[in-house]
Parts: sequence; structure tokens; C-alpha cells
Amino acid sequence: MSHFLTTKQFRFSLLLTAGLLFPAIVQSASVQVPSMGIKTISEAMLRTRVGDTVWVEKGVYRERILIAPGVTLASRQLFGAVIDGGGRGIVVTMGKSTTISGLEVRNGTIGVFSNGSGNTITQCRIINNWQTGLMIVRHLPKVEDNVIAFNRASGIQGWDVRSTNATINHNSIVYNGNHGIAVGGSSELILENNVVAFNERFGIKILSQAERIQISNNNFYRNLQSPKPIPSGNFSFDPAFLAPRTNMNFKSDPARCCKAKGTDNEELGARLVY
Amino acid sequence: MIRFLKRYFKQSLIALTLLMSTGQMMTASAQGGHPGEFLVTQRWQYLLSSRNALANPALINEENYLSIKGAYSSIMNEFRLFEVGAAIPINLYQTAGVSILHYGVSPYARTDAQGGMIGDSISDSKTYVALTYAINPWKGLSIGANINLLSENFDAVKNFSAGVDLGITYRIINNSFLGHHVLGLDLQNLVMATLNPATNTQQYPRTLRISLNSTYWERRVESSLELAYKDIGTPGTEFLNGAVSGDMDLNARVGVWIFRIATVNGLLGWGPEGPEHLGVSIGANFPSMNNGRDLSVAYQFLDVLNGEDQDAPNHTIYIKGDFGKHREEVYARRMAKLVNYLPNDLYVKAINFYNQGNFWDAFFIFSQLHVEYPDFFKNDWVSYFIGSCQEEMDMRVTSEEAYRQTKEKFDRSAAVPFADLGMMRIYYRDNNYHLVERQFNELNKLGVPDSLKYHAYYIMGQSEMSQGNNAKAKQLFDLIPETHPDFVFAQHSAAVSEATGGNIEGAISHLENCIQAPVTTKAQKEIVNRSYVFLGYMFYEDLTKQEGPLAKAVTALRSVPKESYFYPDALVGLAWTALKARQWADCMTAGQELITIAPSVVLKAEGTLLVAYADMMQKNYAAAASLLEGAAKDLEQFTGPDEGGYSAKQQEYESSRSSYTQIARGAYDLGTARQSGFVLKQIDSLHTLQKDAKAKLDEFLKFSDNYKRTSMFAKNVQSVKEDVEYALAKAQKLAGSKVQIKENQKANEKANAIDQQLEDLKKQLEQENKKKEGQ
Repeated sequence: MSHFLTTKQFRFSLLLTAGLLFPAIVQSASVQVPSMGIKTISEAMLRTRVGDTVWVEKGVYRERILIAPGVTLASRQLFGAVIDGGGRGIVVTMGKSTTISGLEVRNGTIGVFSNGSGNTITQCRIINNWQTGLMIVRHLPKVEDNVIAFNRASGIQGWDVRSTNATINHNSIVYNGNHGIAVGGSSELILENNVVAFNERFGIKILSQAERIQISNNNFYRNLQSPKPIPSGNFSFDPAFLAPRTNMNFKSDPARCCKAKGTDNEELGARLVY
Repeated sequence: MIRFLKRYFKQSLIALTLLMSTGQMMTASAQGGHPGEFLVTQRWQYLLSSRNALANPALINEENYLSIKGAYSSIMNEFRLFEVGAAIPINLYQTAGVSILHYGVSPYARTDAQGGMIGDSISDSKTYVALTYAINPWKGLSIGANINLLSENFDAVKNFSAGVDLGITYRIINNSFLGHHVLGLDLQNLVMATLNPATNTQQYPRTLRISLNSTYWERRVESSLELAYKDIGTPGTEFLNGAVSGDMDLNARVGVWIFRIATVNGLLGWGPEGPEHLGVSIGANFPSMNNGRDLSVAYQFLDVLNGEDQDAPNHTIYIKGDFGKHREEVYARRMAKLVNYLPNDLYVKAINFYNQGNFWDAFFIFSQLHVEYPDFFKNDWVSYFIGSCQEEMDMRVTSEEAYRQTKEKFDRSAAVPFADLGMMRIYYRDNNYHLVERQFNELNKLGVPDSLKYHAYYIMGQSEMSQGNNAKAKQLFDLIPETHPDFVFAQHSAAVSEATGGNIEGAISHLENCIQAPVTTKAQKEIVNRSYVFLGYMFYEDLTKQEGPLAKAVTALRSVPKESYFYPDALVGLAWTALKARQWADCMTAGQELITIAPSVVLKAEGTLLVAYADMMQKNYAAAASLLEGAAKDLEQFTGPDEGGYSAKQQEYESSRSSYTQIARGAYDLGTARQSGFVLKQIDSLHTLQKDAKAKLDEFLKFSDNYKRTSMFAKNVQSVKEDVEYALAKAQKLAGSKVQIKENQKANEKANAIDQQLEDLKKQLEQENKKKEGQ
């Protein structure tokens, strides 16, 4: 944890991302947690309007959060703000056109739940939930550069998920108790440049109805052997994580990895700087 | 919940001995404690106790699938136990379960107090049913309860009991390094009462159990630790020596998984007198065979280490399978259904209209969805179908715009390649080959479904053919596999391409591919029919240099069914072929049928011409002339298009298309307006205009098709007209010559007869003159 990006760097990258995605945010208000009269993120959410950003300082926030439509929730420091669900419930429920960034979401029944359109989940660590890490229904949010690990059920569970202008891109979906990614219903989504490894069951489980799923340039490694082969155009090699259990560091060891790069010629999995 | 049957003690001594051998109860029995404590210890199923409702009802909340298990345990082949059970997740936080046990010993001989045999035998069995419910109400806490029903049958005496167990678990740690740990507390027989109090005064033992079930490193290592404090509150009088009450047992299990398939476990039991049992189990799990769900078998062996029954080891076989949907999947499905149904219903309605070919109504419903439900999760497809409906209605400009919008707004949607294909079709129809090629390149990118790519190959091939690049076209057609719906079309086009290049054998080969391919749709069947006509034409023209070309032509042409659009063409071919083969009767039959069924004046005239040819060949010139005169009159009255007429019509068509585009824009504006009574009226009015305008466009396309109709056997109007006129003249001439010859013959005959008469008269005169000279 000591090798995180500096606060300044991380804030800049978040602002840049948010600015590109939602130009309106640039002119919007910011709410600080904690600040005068605001101790919890939930309290901060009550004071937001569409386009606002809630900046969360380093700390553990033991609460379950409903993100108001159009609001961005971001940690000042990469994984500095930890939202702990206390062992039960959905830790973060995303409204429409919301963004979460830089957070660690843990210890809920479900880590993050998203069913609205225009959502973004980026640079988050969704870990140690008692069921699913990220549950997606209907609209696929932009899921990019996240670590989704050590959840007791699937890393990502989707149903009727439609990818219209978002993808599941550059995530490390690893060490989950069920499947890495499980999708069903009339799902149509795009998976690219992810590392899906060491999950107890299948790397990806696609129910028969969900036929239009594009899976390319992902690394599927040491998941349970599936009767359905992984489509060509994907890889299988040891991602050689540096310290996944002790430091939650899912960066690949350059001395032992990697055989392939993503479609953007970058390293597969979450592109995080620890 | 096993009770001590004091009054049957002497008779049940053998049973006790057997039951005591099961481990934990050894200590108690040695001290004269409760017999048959199987349900108290659950050691027969120790391997699966970490999720067993009988060990702690709250533990079934750890199950994520509908889980069914069974166990069979045996001691010295005398004592047998069967268990079946199921756990059913209700939602993320609740689970229900049921367990049924049946156990007992084989009937044994009755003995007296000294152990002497009395004579008859004693039966001893029990059936136990537990209904379980567990809920996770707060944080990592789960609370569960069993409602138990016990039926005992001992020496023909039956007793029924009911009771309740209560258990709680708390998920204390879930850590990637330290593992996942669930702490449990269970009070068995919190309440237990006989349902036959008059005949049964026995007391059931109450046991408090503390457990810790752990897994480490994605379940590669598992452990269970259990501390049981038994016989809480049981009076000492219930025991043989009248003094013992409440002893403690400690049980432990450690297991490892090898490659997530095989498992080995070690088991240890510890009682007040030290180690009680030692066991080992082996098992295997096959989740790959069960779609990622558990499907496991295991065997457990327990060896009793002390007490008088150390030589009675326990063998148990287990089987467990998970079925149905994971708890998380059930939840995800449920959440997916918690949406506004109205847009879904509208979408389904629009799709139904679309599939029925009612593109106008489908278009307006899709447009309504697009405007009124901008967050509808299938709006990418809605946007695509708006374009597709317009394309089907031949609204090319607005359709192309809609497709382009789909691409821009939903750039990562699966609908994008479909939109690209739609645009490609429009560009092809507009003869915009440069843009066709651009779309072709778009559709050749990674991630585009193969099926769409093959459609693109076909359109691109057609485009190349239109530009005269037959070799390129053929290459593209050849890439389409037999399983693709466009295969037959591609093969037909490839045949045309080959024939144009002079490779007749290659063309025939493609046509045969087309004919032999399995077809389902009407369009596919029609292209096969067209291939038959084409094949017949090539044989008729003797392009193949194969033997018996005319017979082969007839075979091909006769394969075209009567209901086909190409049947008149086949009839024309058959008639020409029969004429060439000098089969006048066949030619006349085909020609006459053609006259009857032909949809156009031109084709009817061609039929007439063929019948007339057959007549003429049989020297029926007058009949032929008569037929041809009729055909010539029809053709004269037929105002067929000439070059100038065609150009005028084409200009008219361009103007109509422009108006039609305005109608399409109007439709789009109405579609994207909030629907009201006024808008609906306008939509109806516009529909009338749209139908009229579309009819005009279709009329020109049909006209153009007829005008350009020069393919294979059928001729265009000018050509038929010329042939009919020529044949008529010939027939008339031939018919006229025949009459003259007859008249000449008659005159000659008459002249000959006169000459003969004159000769006869001359001879008569000569004879009379000779007679006169002689006299």
C-alpha cells in the first residue's frame, strides 16, 4: 500500500477521466468526505446534485451507499477510501450515470450493484464480498482497471447485460469462489484485455441464451476447465502477480510475465500503479 | 435426540454395544450414558458437517445451490444408517432444507439379564425428519432452526417425538491470506417432547456445540473444529451409574484438495478419556461434469481407539450434488425482472410487427420507445430497428441516417455490425460501390460475427460483378460456407460470373452446388429454381459440349415447380428445347401452357410464337398464321417501353423517390414526437401517402425489370415483336403457296382430261375417215 500513486497524481488522473467522460462535471460542485457536518458518504450523497463529485479521504467507511444519479464518488487516494459493508447487503448501489473511482469496496453480500445506464466503475478494488463482487443487470457500465478478487461467489455476475457503448476492459478478475465472470439472459457484452485467473470455477460462464459476447485478448489462467473452450484470440499464461494475497498487488512480475499484450498494446489486467 | 431406554436395557445390550462403537458416544456408554447418540455426534457424516443442518441449522446458509446429498453408513454390517437431505437457497439471505434419516440394527435375539437367549428377536429402528430454515439478518450472522420429528420403533413399541434445534453462525473472517472462517453455536434439542407422554417418559439429551469451519486459499485446505458439551440438564438418574451427566468431546478434521478434484481428510476425536477415534477420508469432486457445480463422492473410515468396541470400525459413503442456479444468479435474474415492463412490452410488440412484415407500425413503436424510454436497455437495437424498418420500406436516405446514428450512439453495441450491413445493402442498391467497399472493410474487422461477414462477402461480390470484376466477385462468393443462408445466392452468382468468363463447366458446378444445397426460405427456393432455368439454358445452347444436352435441359427445366416465379421462364425454355429436338407436340404443350399462365403480353406472345413454329413445322401454316395474327395484334396494342419511354419513366422514378424521402422524413418526425391523438391521425394520413408512393416506386422497378428482360430464354418486347411479325409473314406466305399449287394441279388435271378427250375424239375421227376411204 505504500507504493500508491501520490495523491496529486491520482487526483489529476481522476479529474482527467471524469472530465473526458462528463464534461459537465468540470463545472460541478465537489463534496468532501469527511468535512464539516459530513461524516459519512451517505450524508454527502444527500447533498449532491447531478454532476457533483464526492471526494472521499483515506479511511474505512462502514456503510452501504446508494449513489445518486449523475454523481461521481471518488477516493482521494487510490484504494485509500474503503467502503466496508459489514458482512451483509449491497455495499455500493449505483444510480444512473454515476461513477465510482479509486475505492475499495469490501465485505458485503454484493460489492457493487449497477443497473442504470451510463455508469462507470474504474480503478476500484472490489474484494472479500460474501457473494458477488460486481453484479450488473441490463446496462453494462464501463468497467475498467478494477481488481475484482477474493469474493466468495463470482467476480462479476451479469444478467441481461447489454454493452452499448461500454466494455469490461483491463480488469483483474481473480481468486473468486465461483466463476470469474458469469453472464446470462439476453446479454451482449464485450470483454477485452482482462486477466481472469485462479477462480474456483470457470473463468467465464455463459448461459446458452447469452450468445453475443465478444471475448478477445483476455488471459484465462488456472480457472476450472470448462467444457466450452475459451474462444480463440485469448491467452492462457501465468500472470505472475507480485503479491496478490498479502498486499493485494496484482501487478505482473515483469521477470516472469507476460507473453501477450492487450489490443491497446498495454499490459493485460488492471493498469494500476501501486 | 437419542434417548436412553432404561427399561429395555437388558434386551438392548447387543444393540448398545453396536451403537456405542460409533465413536463419540463411546465415552458415555462406557460410563453408562445415552445410547444411539448418532444424531448427537453426527460422526457418520463428519466429512460434510460444515454445511449440515443437523450439525447446526444455520450452516445451510453456506450452500449456494439446490444441494442434494445422501449418506450410507455401516458398522460391522449390523448397524446401518441412511440419510438424504436437500438445501434450497431462497434468496441471498435465506435457505430452507430438509433431512431424512433412517437407522437401526438388524433384528437380534432377546436375552435375559445374564445375557442368556430367550428365544424371539427384537427390532430397533428410528426415522428422523428435520425441516430447516436459516436466515442471515445482520452482518455475518445467520440464525437457523430445525423442526424435528422422530419416530422410534423398538421391540414393536412405537413412539413419536418432536423438537426444535437452534443454531447460529457468524462469519468472522474472510481474508485472502488468513482464510474464511465461520463460527457456529448450536443447541440441539432445545425443545424435545414425546408425543406419547402416557407411554413414554424418556428424556432427550440436550447438546451445546461450538464449531469453527474454515477454508484457506480458495478451499485448497479445509478444517473443522467442534467442541460438544452433551447431556445438558439431563438428570443423573437417566444414566446407568446414576452419576454421569454432561461430558465434553472435541472433534477435528483437516483436509486438502489436490487439483480441486481429489481430497484427503484426517479426522480425530478426543473425549474425557483421551483420543477416541481416528479416521481418514478420501473423495473426489467433478464440477466440470456438472456445469461448474459440485458433484462429489467420498468415503470415510473411522477407527475407534478405546473402549470395548475398538474393533468395530465405521465405514461411510457420501454423495453430494448441486443443481439449479447459484444464489447470486437467482438474485441477478430477479433484479433484471424488477424493471418497468412497458418498454419491454412495446419492444416485443414492435418485434412481432417487424417479423410479420408490418414495418410501418413496427417503425412507429420503435420510434416511440426511442423517445419515451431513452434508458431502455435495448435502445441500441431499437435504434437499429428504426433503420431496418425504414430500409424494408425502401426509405433509403433516412434508413442510412438511422443506421449511422446507431453506430455513433452505441459504438460498442452488437447492433453496430448489423447497422453496417444495412448501410452496405443501401449503398449497393444505390450503386454506390465506393461506399459498399467501405462498409465491407468495416464488416471485416475483428469481432464481427462470421454470419454477418458472409453476408458482406455476398453483397461485395455482387458489387464487384456489377463493376465487371468477375474474378474478384467469384473469390468472394467462394468464401461463403454451405451452412450460411447466402450460400445458394452466392453459388448462383458465382455461376453467372463463371459463365460470363466463359468457364461453362465451372458455372455448371456452382449451379449444381446451388441446386443441391438445403434450402428453407422462399427466396432460397426461388434462386434454386433460377439455377435450374440457367442450367437448362446452358444445355439448350449446347455450351457444355456434354452428351444429350437437350435431354439434360428438359430435366433441369422440368424441375422448376409450377408455383415458382421462374416457371414461365422454364416453360419458354421447355418449348424452345422441344422445338430444337423436333418434338412438336411437346413444344405445343409448353407453348400453350405459357399462353395460359404468362403474366405479360410479351411472354404470351412468345408462347404463341412457339406454338406457331410447331404448327408450321407440321405444315399447319394456316393455323400458325391465325395464331400469330392474334399475337401480332396484342403486341401492336401493347405500348411497350422504348428507350425514350424508359428514360422518362426513370426520371419520374427519381422524382418519386425524392418525394418518398420527404415522406420518410415526415414519418421520422412523427415517430419521434410524443404520441398523441393528433399525431396518430397524422401517422394514418401519412401511411396512405407512403403506400401510394411506395406503389409508384415498385411499379417502376417492375417496369424496369420487364424492359431489361433479356436473360436466358425469354426475349424482350422488341425481339418478340420482330419474331412474331416474321413468322406471321412466313406462315402466310407458305399458306398462300399451298393453295396455288392445288389450283394448278386441278387445272392441269382438267387440261389433261380435255386433252384426253380431244385425243379420243381425234382417234375416233381418224377411224371414221379410214372407214370412208375403204368404202
